[in-house]
Amino acid sequence: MSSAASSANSFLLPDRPSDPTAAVLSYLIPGLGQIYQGRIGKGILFFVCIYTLFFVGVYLGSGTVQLKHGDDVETYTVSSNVYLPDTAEQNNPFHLPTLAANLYNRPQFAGQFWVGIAAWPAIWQYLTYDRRQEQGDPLLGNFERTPSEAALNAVHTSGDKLLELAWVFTVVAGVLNVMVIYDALAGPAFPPTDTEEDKTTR
Amino acid sequence: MHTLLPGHNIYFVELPLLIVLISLVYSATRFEEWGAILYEAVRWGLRLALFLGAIGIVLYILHYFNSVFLAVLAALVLAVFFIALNMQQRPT
Repeated sequence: MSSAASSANSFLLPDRPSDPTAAVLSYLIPGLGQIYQGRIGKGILFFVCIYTLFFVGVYLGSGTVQLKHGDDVETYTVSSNVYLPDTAEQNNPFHLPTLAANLYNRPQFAGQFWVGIAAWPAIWQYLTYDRRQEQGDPLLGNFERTPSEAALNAVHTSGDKLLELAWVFTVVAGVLNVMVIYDALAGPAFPPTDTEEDKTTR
Repeated sequence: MHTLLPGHNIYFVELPLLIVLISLVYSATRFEEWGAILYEAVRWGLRLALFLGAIGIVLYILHYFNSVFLAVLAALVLAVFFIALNMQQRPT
């Protein structure tokens, strides 16, 4: 056998059955699939790291500013940077279906979605969005609700670069959770090496 | 606007937090043993910090010397440095 072939064989991984249940659990709550598989430490690590990334991002991406218009003081609030606005009618250059056009207009949500249950309020708000409801959804309020353009502009212009950094946090959390889901489904890229004890008992 | 700590520079709080968490999660999806996970996390953390630092250097040159030529030159030098570093670390 050539050296190239032997080195390729050294990277072959042992067969391990896929675990779709764990993958779904890890999608719902990061790390839950690993905990279900008995890999408690790793599950907790994923849970803490991904939810820290996500909720720090949500925190950084929210804010309230007050702007003066003459004698009036107007308050603008952005409650979260995880949302999917319905903008297909305003911008749909490729004549995509409504949902695809909305994702085209806000691709960040395609990454944020993969963080699981924590991004579901945004889906609910998208499905039930009513511009006339100033208080937001009766159940969720303004959490993960599309903010008004005036509020976005006001918070953007007063908050340096924090809104951009915020969506980096939330999108990275979602994308990393895709890797966590795959880890639950198929195991780590490099499985643990056998200990001497394992080899002798085999 | 919200910040994690009042009156701080985001490059000293949010960015290191981002690098640490990304490195930990990425390396934990690659390995199963804690020693290997932590070793890989440190390696990836340093690589990410170096990479972002290199971009920072190029932007610094572009901003303060206002020279595209110098910035491209710096980017090329840093790219060669990273490739050399990567080849040195690759297992034989």
